[in-house]
Amino acid sequence: MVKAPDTLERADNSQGVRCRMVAASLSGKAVGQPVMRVDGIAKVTGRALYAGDVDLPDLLSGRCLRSPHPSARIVSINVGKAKALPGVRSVLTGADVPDTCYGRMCKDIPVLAKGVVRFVGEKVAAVAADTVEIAEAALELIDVEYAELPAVFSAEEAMRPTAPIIHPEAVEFVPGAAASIHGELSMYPPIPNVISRLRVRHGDAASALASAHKIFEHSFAVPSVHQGYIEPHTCLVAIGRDGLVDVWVANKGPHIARTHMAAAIGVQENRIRFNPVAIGGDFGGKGSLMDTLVCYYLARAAGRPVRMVMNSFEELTAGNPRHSASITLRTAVDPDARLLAIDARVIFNAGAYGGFVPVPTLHGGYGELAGAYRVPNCAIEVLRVYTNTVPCGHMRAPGAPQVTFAVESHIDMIAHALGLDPVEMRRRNAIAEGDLTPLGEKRRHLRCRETIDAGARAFGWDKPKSPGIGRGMSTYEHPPGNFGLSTVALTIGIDGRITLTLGSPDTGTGFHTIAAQLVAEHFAVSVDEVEIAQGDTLSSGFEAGASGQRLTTTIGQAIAAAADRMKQDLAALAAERLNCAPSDIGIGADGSFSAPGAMIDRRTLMGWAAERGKAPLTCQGENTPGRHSDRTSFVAHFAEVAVDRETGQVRLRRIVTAHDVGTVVNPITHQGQIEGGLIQAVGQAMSEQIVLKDGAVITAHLGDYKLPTAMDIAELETILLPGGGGTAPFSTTAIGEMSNVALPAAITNAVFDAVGVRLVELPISAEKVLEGLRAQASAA
Amino acid sequence: MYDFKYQKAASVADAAKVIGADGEAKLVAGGMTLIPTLKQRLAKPSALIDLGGIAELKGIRREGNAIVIGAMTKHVDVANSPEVKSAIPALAELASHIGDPAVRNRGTIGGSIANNDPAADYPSAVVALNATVITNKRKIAADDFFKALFETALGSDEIVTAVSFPIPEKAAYMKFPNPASRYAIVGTFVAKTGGNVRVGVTGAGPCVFRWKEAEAALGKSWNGDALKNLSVKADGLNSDIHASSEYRAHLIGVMARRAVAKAG
Repeated sequence: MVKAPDTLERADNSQGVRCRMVAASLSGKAVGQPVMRVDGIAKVTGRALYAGDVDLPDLLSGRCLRSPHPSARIVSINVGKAKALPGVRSVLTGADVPDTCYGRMCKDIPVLAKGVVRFVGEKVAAVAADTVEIAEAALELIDVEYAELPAVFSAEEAMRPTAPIIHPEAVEFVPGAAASIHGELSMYPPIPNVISRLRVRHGDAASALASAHKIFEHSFAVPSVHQGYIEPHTCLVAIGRDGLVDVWVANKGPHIARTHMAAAIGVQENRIRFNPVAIGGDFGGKGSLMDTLVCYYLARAAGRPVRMVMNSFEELTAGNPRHSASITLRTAVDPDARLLAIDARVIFNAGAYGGFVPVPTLHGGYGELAGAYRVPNCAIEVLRVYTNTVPCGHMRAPGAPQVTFAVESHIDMIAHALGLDPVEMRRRNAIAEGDLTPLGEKRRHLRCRETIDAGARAFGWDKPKSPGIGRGMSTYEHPPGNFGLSTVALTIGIDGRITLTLGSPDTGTGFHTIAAQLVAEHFAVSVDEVEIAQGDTLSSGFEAGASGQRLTTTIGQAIAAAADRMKQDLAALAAERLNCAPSDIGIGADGSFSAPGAMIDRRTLMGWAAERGKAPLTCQGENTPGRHSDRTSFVAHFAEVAVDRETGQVRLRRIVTAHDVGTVVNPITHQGQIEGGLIQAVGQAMSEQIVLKDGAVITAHLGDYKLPTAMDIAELETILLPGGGGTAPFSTTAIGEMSNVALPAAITNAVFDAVGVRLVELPISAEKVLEGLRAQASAA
Repeated sequence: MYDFKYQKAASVADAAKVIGADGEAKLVAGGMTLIPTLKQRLAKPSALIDLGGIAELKGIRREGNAIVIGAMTKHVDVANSPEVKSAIPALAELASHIGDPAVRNRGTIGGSIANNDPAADYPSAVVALNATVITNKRKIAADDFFKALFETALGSDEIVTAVSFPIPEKAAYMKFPNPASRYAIVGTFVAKTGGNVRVGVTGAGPCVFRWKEAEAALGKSWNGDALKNLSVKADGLNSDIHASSEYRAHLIGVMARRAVAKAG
């Protein structure tokens, strides 16, 4: 059923958040409906089980002693006094754990520091005790003697020939993870401290730059930020009498994490069970094992289960924040301001360990660089570099926010330099049907210009504005992920109800609700008749987990495959009972089965199945992994700011965000992704930054690390372009990594529009703007 | 958080007796600073003496030409008080922009000034309005109350019971807030009371202070332009990840001029 164009207006807060849905969305019984979260009531009533809620008999608390030095040799560790403290059950140092290092691709993270520490916050010793307080008191009794070593904090300095080498020994890595990368990849090339160097080329950028009408070169810097999830990293490990290792951990991909843990501790995968827990926000930050390995060794040494919860200080100083980056772009244009070539150099500061990400380098560092534009020649070099700082991980569209800030500022700077309206500059260069991406990939359904136009219209780009007011825009392209295996099981019971068993937690995005809606749609039942069972890693099929906007596509395919099988099995059952051929069986819109002259509802059918010992009936389904969907999506953001010339203060007044979408499965969770992503981006544009001093994170609490509050958010309007074209079942695309990437550049572009000050480093601060205004005044 | 004893004081005298006898005991008013400090294990008091049950510490009243605010009066009550709004609207407005709604519904004026956080809003008003801090022992002039970073004139068994604000002819507060927290990076309170001009500056230095050059200039001419040629030296001002001392010095002037304009 296709509904008429729908207008959905709501006022969520005093700032007036509005969503204008101009899409005519496919809307069946379940898909397209604003269904309430299936986990909503459990979460708001406190019934949802998070890793920190799990309680077991004899449970101990584990805590870690962390390095105060960014680079030092451990001369000695004395744990005698800590071990003697009553209530302490086990104390471990690097000497007590195997030499095996852990990593999602690069195996470089020791369980506990062995001989050297490489960043402030590195785990040096661990204690399990009856209470957290005793464990913390024990940490204070551990004496560590360090001999400080030279340290390096910036990626550029770390690559110099004289820089201290942070990992002198060869680091083992999983070559498979590198295989999917296109371009020329060198792991651990002969450049000091470089983990990976990727060179991707399409066309001949060098020649195009050499002969171009005009060339523009600009450099940008984006700091590290924290994912900002509410639930800290938490894990609990219990080793059963039969040796089965039970794990409860805040991890977005339990099956893969289980495999990594098995390799690290030398226990077979099927003797480790990751149990289902709710996740209190992930944003890419919960893909690693974090403290799980040390927790396992503490539990083994103590002979009792151990729980570890990172506190907010540890999260902010020693989590796995987003990589900071420095980016230089050189672009050639023709006399009509058309982009001829881009040459990009991107340097990611990985911190002390590379193992927190499952890839050689961050996909967003090159994968969608300038993807919204037709750029016939492109050359990108991406370096990922060790430094003596907090190791970095993934965060929502890894690499893309950093690179997109650069690209979208750069395009704006070129437009202004050429005297061209920034919207016109982008429209003129927007990728369109038939064009290849800058990396030479074929994509379809290229609605870049339409998305920009829809946003510009709603925003009133051409309307007059007062002095001190600035307007800016930015755009971004990103297809849904279609990689990694997803396996699900559908079970229909004698009562006709359907259970979906899957291995992916709902990291907070609302995915379990989406999954329930997809199942319901296949069987034409209401979502209430579908139950979601998050299986443990022994009882659920393999699931690669949430990443790269993949779940709705990959689990959607797995659900479709399982639903097809189940319908076939049910039809065969019905045919047998009705004495007809399975091909005579039809399936009605209400989910009932019909044969010539007969109708059977699911419950009756399952009654028959039960008589034959075939109820409950379970069918598996899998996706067919590829890379990315070729149906990509675009977003265009428009921001309006007011700049105070006397103080440099930037006030964000208004945001319009336009999205080119497929079928919207659930308008509530869809809008939640858009608004949540934008608010995250406002923080990263205006206030968030992990600040280092001598290599140590000094923004160590939420008073100094400034996540935006409701008061910092501007009026927000969402425009959804009519959907369609999605490659996933029901023509869905993806939304999770669309709204958080490009907004900061729209805001800095608006600041430039307001007062002529160009910010090439995030975050925006009033002081930086004032410095720019003063520089302007003294130049005049 | 370390363990501590909790005691709800029945009266000011009762609370004073406990803190006089036990130097490790701490008073808790709204707890907006103390509780996070405890949670981070940055303080280890033997006992918390809760002032929340003492009715006489709450409330706002007009006494002659002054507004007297009980120490345990919450920011939200000052912000919404008809007496404060009509007599010293600048003070009500200041209270309405402290932190966020959660802070305003818990935090108290007595707690704020006794803590003397360098970025708190209230101290600027106390100094600029030349308020009198009333304790269980004495009356302390604003100029004598705030001593240094997190330090006041309060003795070991001394408790703020109220603050008396003389009603000014003109007053206004302008704050340059930190994002998210709304603490003052710089907050400037200007007031003209009985012909005297006072300018209280918070957020900029280790402790609230008066900008005396501005006071003299405004005393001669109550006009923002009177401050145009004045500047504050950055030496000794706070410099941190939120703002440099030079930027804070600049903001003092801007906020003062704007406050004068706002006061009318």
